[in-house]
Amino acid sequence: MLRRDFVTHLSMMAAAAALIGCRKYLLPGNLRYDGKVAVIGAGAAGLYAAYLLKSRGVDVEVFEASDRYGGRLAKRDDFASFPIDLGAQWLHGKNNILGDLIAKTNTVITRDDIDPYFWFNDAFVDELPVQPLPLFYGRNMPDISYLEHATAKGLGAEYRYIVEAIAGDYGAAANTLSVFHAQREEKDWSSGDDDFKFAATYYDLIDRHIAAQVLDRVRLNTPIATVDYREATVRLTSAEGESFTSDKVIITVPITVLRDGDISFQPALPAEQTAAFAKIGMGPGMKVFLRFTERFFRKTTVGGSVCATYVDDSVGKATDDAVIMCFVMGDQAAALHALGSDDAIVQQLLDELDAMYGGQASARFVAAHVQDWTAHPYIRGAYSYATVGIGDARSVAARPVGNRIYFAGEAMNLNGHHQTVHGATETGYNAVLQLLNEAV
Amino acid sequence: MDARAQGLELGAAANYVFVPAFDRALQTHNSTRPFIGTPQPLLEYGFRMDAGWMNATSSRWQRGVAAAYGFTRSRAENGGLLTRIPFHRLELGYRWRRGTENGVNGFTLGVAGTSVGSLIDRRQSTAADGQTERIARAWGIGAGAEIEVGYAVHSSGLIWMPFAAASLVPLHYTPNAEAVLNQTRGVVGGAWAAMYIGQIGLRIVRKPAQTR
Repeated sequence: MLRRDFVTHLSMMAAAAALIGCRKYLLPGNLRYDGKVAVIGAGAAGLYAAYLLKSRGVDVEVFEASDRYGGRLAKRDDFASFPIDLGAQWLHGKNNILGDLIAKTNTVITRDDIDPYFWFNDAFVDELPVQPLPLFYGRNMPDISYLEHATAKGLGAEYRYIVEAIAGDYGAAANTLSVFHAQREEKDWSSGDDDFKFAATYYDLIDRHIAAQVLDRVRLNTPIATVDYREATVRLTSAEGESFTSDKVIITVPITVLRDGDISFQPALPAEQTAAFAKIGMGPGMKVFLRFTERFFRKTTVGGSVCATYVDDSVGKATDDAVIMCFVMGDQAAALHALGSDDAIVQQLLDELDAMYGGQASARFVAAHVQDWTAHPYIRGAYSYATVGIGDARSVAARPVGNRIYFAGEAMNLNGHHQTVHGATETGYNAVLQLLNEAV
Repeated sequence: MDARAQGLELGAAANYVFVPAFDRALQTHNSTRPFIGTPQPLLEYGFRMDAGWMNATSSRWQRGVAAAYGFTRSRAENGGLLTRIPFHRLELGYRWRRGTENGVNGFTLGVAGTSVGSLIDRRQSTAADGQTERIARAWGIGAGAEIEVGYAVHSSGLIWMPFAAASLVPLHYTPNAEAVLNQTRGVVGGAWAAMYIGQIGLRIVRKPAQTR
């Protein structure tokens, strides 16, 4: 072989080796941080951020305003023969970080794929004359509300509460949820299409496997009122005047808390960011559990005028006590909230169920639990949704400030998983990755 | 290599795959899940098999079509959870090769233009139910080039050719890959995932009858 050929071949091999050897980029697994991090809010996002930071040896402290951790995850064990989730209840798709945790921990979940019955023109039907759901998906959807769009598409008043149920799934009233932006925000959804229920509760999953790892770092009953980041060290002051310091802060409170200015920032956050907080919707939300002596109701009913969605809460549970979960969102939740008492709320729901089932609800009623998330002083609603005109408010709201203030929580999720616990969890680890990357 | 060799050739190779976007997604996956003790390995080592039909165009040049199948897998077991991420590649290409004169052992140099189809799955099985479930899937399509250096050894009826090759697939569109690898979309990267592939293997070329 000619020497020239040999040199040519050798240089080609060297080039190939160089090509496959060039892997100089930042490895997230190698990032370290020696400072102190404060996390405000002990919901799924805050707990997961703290869990991840603690697992990397970072000094972290979680400040929770209320007297319990979990945020919009909560449970009650003694209401029925199975535990009930008072807050988030469904795992939306398995292909997500919590799906991994569920599989790893052998947590029992069951696919919930029950087709609903519709309460339509004062009667139960299993199929509607017009399927409303497809009307809200497609190309060139307008940035108008679900209610306006339904009217424009010819759906009459008889569909009003069917449309409310669809919007309620987004945690919204039909007159505030944007057809265009709700669909746009979902385009990156990658978690899967099936919904799952827990044999125990969603709360238990987070409590046993996430919160349990960081309980020693959680400070309850400590609502943070001021975040002062004028100096290199961030100073947090609670509503009671206690003062704390940290190098960086991850804020995971509900969007209502940011929107309403419960936390004062010094210096003030950029005006564009505070405006973005106000654009992200989060309306009233309530779950009411009704226990009966025996089952007389359908698994899922959609279309009530008091509550648009009634669900048999025993689905996926080991026992089958007769429990209806009334999923009340938007204007319906506001109306029930305005009644001012649990008894009045329960009576309205029983009246509607009596109308549907010929008086059987009141006759078989045993007990109720009203979980009015609107009334919770540090939550004040259900979960975030896309308002008409929301634009890119989520991405503006989620921007870190000054390499020291980071935002997380379901409302800050930018990859289509907002409104979910796993989406909140993702924002928790995203904030940590941002923090660690910027700290290097 | 036999200048007038034409016909079927078969190859098998160990391959090393480097897809920076996939690595970032898997590393993010691993670094954000402290509850997973065994990290999900990167998609790196696998095998590749190819078949080609080459025609001689001069005393030292050949050209022809080639098809290849490549496979790489990431597998991790964590307690009762087994997660497997197989990465399949199907390549179709056109190859040019410069070899030696008839019957002379020596180095060969080849280049190829390739189109690539890819598929990544995320499959999980748990000890509790023993079932394997595919929970996410990503298709991909791409185009690239390959360069190959070999050494042709003539024997009776066959040419044995150990080779090393490097492929670059700069245009690899696989919009759902992050959903498979990190279970998100748009958090770690985008829809494009350039691939670099290195191979070391053996190719067997059947000598045409007139050269025996």
